Amino acid sequence: MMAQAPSAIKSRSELRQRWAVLRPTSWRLLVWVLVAVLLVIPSLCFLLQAFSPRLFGQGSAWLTLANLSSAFHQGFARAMLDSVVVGVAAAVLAVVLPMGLAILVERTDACGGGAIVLGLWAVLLAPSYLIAVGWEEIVLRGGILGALGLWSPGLQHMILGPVGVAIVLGLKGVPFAYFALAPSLAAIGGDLEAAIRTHGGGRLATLRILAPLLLPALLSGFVIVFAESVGDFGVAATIAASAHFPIATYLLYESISTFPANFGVAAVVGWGLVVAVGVALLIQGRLLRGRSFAVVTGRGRSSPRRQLGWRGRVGAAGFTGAFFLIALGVPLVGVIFSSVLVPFEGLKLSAFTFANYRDLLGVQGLGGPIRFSGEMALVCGLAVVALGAVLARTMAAGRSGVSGRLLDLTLVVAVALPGVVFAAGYIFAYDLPFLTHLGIALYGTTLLLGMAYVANSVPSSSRLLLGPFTQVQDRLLHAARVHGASGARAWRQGVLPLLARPILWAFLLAFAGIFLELPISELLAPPNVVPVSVAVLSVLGKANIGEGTALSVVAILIVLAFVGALQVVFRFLAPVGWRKWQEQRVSVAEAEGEELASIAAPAFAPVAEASLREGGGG
Amino acid sequence: MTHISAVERSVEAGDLRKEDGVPDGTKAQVAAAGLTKRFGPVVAVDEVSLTVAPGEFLVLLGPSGSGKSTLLRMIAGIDRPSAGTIHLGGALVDGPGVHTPPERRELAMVFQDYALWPHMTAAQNVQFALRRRRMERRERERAARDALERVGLSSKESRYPGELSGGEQQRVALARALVAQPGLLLFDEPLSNLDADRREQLRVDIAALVREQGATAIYITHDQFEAFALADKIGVLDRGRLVQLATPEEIFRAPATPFVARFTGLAGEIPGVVEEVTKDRVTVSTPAGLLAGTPFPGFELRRGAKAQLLIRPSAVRFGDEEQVAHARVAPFAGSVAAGETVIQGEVIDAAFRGWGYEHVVSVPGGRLHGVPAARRIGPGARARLVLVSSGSLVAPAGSGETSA
Amino acid sequence: MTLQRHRTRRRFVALLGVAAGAGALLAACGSTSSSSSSTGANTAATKTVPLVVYSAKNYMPGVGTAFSNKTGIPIDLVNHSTGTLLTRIQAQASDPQWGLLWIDGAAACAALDDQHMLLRNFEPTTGKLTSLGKELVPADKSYIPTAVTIAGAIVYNPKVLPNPPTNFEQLLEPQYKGKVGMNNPAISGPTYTFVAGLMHQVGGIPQGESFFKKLAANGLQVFSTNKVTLTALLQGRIAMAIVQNNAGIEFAEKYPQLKVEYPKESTLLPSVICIDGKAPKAQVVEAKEFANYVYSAAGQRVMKSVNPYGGWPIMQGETPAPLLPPLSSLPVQKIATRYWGGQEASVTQWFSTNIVNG
Repeated sequence: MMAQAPSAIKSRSELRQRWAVLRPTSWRLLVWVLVAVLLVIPSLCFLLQAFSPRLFGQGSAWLTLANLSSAFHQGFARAMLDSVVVGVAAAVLAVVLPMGLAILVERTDACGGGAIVLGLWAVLLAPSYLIAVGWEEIVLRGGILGALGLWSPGLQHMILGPVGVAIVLGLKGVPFAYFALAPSLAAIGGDLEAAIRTHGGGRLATLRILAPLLLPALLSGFVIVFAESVGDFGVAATIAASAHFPIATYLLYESISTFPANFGVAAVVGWGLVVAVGVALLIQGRLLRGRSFAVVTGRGRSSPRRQLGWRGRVGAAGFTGAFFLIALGVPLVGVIFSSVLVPFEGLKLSAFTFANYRDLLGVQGLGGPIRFSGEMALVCGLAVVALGAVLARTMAAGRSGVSGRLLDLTLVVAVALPGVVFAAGYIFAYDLPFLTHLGIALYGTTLLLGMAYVANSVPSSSRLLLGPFTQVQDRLLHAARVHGASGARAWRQGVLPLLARPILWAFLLAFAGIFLELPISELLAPPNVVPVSVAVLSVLGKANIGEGTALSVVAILIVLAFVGALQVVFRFLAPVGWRKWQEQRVSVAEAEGEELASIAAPAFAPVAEASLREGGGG
Repeated sequence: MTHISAVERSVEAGDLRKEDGVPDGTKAQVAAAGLTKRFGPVVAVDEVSLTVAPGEFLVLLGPSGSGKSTLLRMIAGIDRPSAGTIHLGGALVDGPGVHTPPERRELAMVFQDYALWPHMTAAQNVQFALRRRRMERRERERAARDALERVGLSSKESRYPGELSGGEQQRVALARALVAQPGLLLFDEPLSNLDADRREQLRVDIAALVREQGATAIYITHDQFEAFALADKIGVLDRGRLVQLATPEEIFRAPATPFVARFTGLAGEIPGVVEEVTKDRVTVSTPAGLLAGTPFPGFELRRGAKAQLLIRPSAVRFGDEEQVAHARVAPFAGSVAAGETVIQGEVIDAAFRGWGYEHVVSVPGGRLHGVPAARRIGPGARARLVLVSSGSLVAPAGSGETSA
Repeated sequence: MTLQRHRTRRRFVALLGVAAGAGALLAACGSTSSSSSSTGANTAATKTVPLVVYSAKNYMPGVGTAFSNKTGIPIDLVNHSTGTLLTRIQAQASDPQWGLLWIDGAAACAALDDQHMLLRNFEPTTGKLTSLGKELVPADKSYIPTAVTIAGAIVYNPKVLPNPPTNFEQLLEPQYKGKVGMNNPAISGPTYTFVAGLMHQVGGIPQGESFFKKLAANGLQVFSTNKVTLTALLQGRIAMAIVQNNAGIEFAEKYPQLKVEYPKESTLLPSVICIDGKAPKAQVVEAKEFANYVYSAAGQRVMKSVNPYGGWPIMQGETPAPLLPPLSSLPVQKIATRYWGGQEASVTQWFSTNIVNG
């Protein structure tokens, strides 16, 4: 029996071995293929037209610099400068504010830490154009301040100009920076602080000495907010447009919207964004090089929480309250009011009406769009989270070295490119005759729309998941595997439940973004299909401003309701253990001198391989 | 069809699981040959070869940076060697083009920081390890309960790790490792994170439970006392190289290199110059006098060469009047016989240990620690120490500095 | 402990169940929604190729439904703004996916025709054009006019602005400083026709550029689209909005405080249908049938009922909706489509660089 075909057995087991060896490489390959198909190819198809319009039938030249000079003629330089300046300002704001919030949540015993985190997710969920509109509703002469008799032209001028743009974008970027900073702050051992204090260093000295430890997280937060800001579209279309303050995305929008659409110039602007973000990443890399990444050792006591006196508490509450008021409350109030107040009548009680919402009920055919967008958001949201998790894991693992760094770069650049670039890119990439001949009829299908949705949301999602994934200790995975769990089971049972909360939030974020998404819906929606955002536009297109705004508010409420519902379901139905995800104090491996250690901070900068020499084992 | 697949499974390279999922005890041994691991330009493990017999308890001892953790991880399958082979139970699990993943190696591991899954209760953590055994759910629960009872935690089986103390968590990890009865158990400095009092208790439990199961164990630590207490064999690692693999007694009595000697405990060192070399004795001229010691195998000493005299704690004691009278005072010239010699010194520290006192004595050329006495000899007192040459070792000067 | 596991497992299963249920529910609803705007004649028309219609006019889906009911030809409707549709069409240049385009603005179709993308020499036969309508038909019959609107009507609040301008050239007067708002022609196609018309009125492109520069110095505010401009009017940022007249009328209907005026010279903006010349034969045939339907009395009736302010009809025997003033009473001008169509790119670029962002 044993002698039966031993050679066959041997070769089969050999094959198994070889497959086992190849498997991680083939997974990585699959990931890259997905990223290429979803993100890289469409973007390239769009960007290449800056220099080669003939490629997709947009011109007669195979290679030309005409678009470049054309773009400069149209104020490309000024627009890029404005975008970069605003981006930097927004990023600075977005990094400074979370420091304060993170210190409050992680290092003091100020209560409401959970509420702060929740609030930050709400800030993430709110679309930027809506916040911009909200501010408009407040500071304009016919707006709320005016109705209250508090109108100030100076304030209006300030808010509806570069300063306002920077503020709106910066506030929107705060959650990203926060989620990058907080774990780092938490991970710095209390011993480090104690060492400084006992040697006579005051609070300033502590900050000065510890700041370099936070540098990776600070820089990565900075870069990501910068990328989000220069690529933002919503604010560009509202505030910047009418403020004689040209920014890059508006120039791109114009180039695409004219007829004949100038894809060449739009592509040049796209390159501008790519270069800007590339430079930011380069600077980040340069600043971080040569710095030891070791933030913590496993031995540190967990950081003590400072007790706040009553003055401290009041100050903390005031700071947090002010932040959320400005970031969220004010604009939301503005938006709601614009759909509830009767125009031209000032702020009287009689001027409140729900007529817009009533009329909305009478508008035909809204159920279809809501259902369609809801379904797409659900399915695509799941896809986004699945792919985002895989990408986050790839980047966090860091062992891929160059591959991980490249992935990082690709995703950050993708964040900077507005959705309309993907949308147009998808048309170019997937509406080609030779593809139809091959039988790959992707264009005009809901599948393509879904792919574009996913491509648009994955970069942000994977960034948000990167933090939690870096925090998960590899040891938990190893523990599962040495106890007999295959790779998949080790992940499923050992580690993913710990990430359940962040994954849920990432899903909800993707859901919200896709449900309300506009430019991609416009350009890629198949015939007979009307996503919610397009429905809003068509209602508005009939000059029903009030109803249009009411519809946008309703759409947002639907999203919020879904978010809330899912959170409740999770709270009551998920296994107890899943909710007990504690922020794992990231500990560096008990350094064998040459052992690889994962970076402590969930640095967006690629997880570098650090050698630690730990002096004197215990 | 099924028959062939069953056969295939048991013969499959590196997969030690048999048809019913229970390991074959006779094959559970470890053989590593030429294991090397490089991280870029740094060599963490350098051509290490060792074997572990079934049921043996091997302790890998070494300071931080000696590569012991890396070595263990390679045996576990978590890291892949850059060169060399590993056989587990006679089957090749790591070699050119071959790598069996950890889950197919039929082993279990206890980690330094417990590595319990925080979202599972203690019982669930332990049951996780049983999933590979294809048991009924009830059986699994019962086995887990038994395992937790054996480590003394039956009352805490529904607690979450966050609700348990460090010692309790490590016990759960121990139960988890033992419950599936794998042939090979790996321990990665499991006691380092525990308080001193818990440490000893758990060490005893580990020894007892492992022996009870008859499993083979590889245990790494930097604590020599732990190593000596637990091991059947000790492998000492220095900067990635295995410098000695022997029983604890042998390592203590006849360390292969000065590094091993230093790492396994010295009272102190005295520098000197070699006067006379014979096969099993070297005479060294030191500031404290002419002293004799045993040479290290493989470390050549010549007359006139600079040397260090490494003195074991067991080789030094205070001399009482009678002993001093019998023993010879170390001369400063001439020759000295094997046996005991007396040197002068001054006490500079006395520490109460409960059973008595340990003193630090300053002698010409160095300091000797841990010299015991029943009563306290105050700092400043002059004292005479008796040195035993068989407990002293002579190494060339500047050899084998500790990496710490 | 067993109870604990039970609970855990039950919760997990419940969670999965909820998720699965939600997914299934939405999937079921979704499948109906995606075919909701298709016509009822879908099932009968298994062999007929659907006609892909890109429409920016509010006539669809109403006219489309009526058409499908009458002829049994299903319609795949892509209903977006003119700008979006044109972007799509241009991006699809290597492999067009549309059959029929129905938008405002002949200039765009003229430009498409320049790229040899349109079906030429086709004219519907089911209705007779008025003399105005006949003037709008191009020489190579590459597009089909269906109605006219006016680009450049002003919407204003008489309480805030008791003296609206009667001539566009009056906009430079100090009394209108900072009170005028318009759309960005780079983004809103019909606005380009207004800009072109104004430039034509003042004598040509160079004179037009200097006019707009002066207008900008007089506090002109430029917004992205109709919606934003009209919102600005509501917010009080501007006192008068220059928009396409149908948007203006609908807006004024909703907010009775507002009024619509037509200063000299208002430019005619025809809404046109054009057909993809490279579409498969079956679709071309169906598109022709659609155009014929639009020209027919039945089609004109449906148009009027579905979108009364869509424009002044140009078929003989048709009357405009009541709220539309008689066309002959308005100071309208026509501009040379081909010429101005060719200038669109450079004019809008100039405008964006100098007026919007300058």
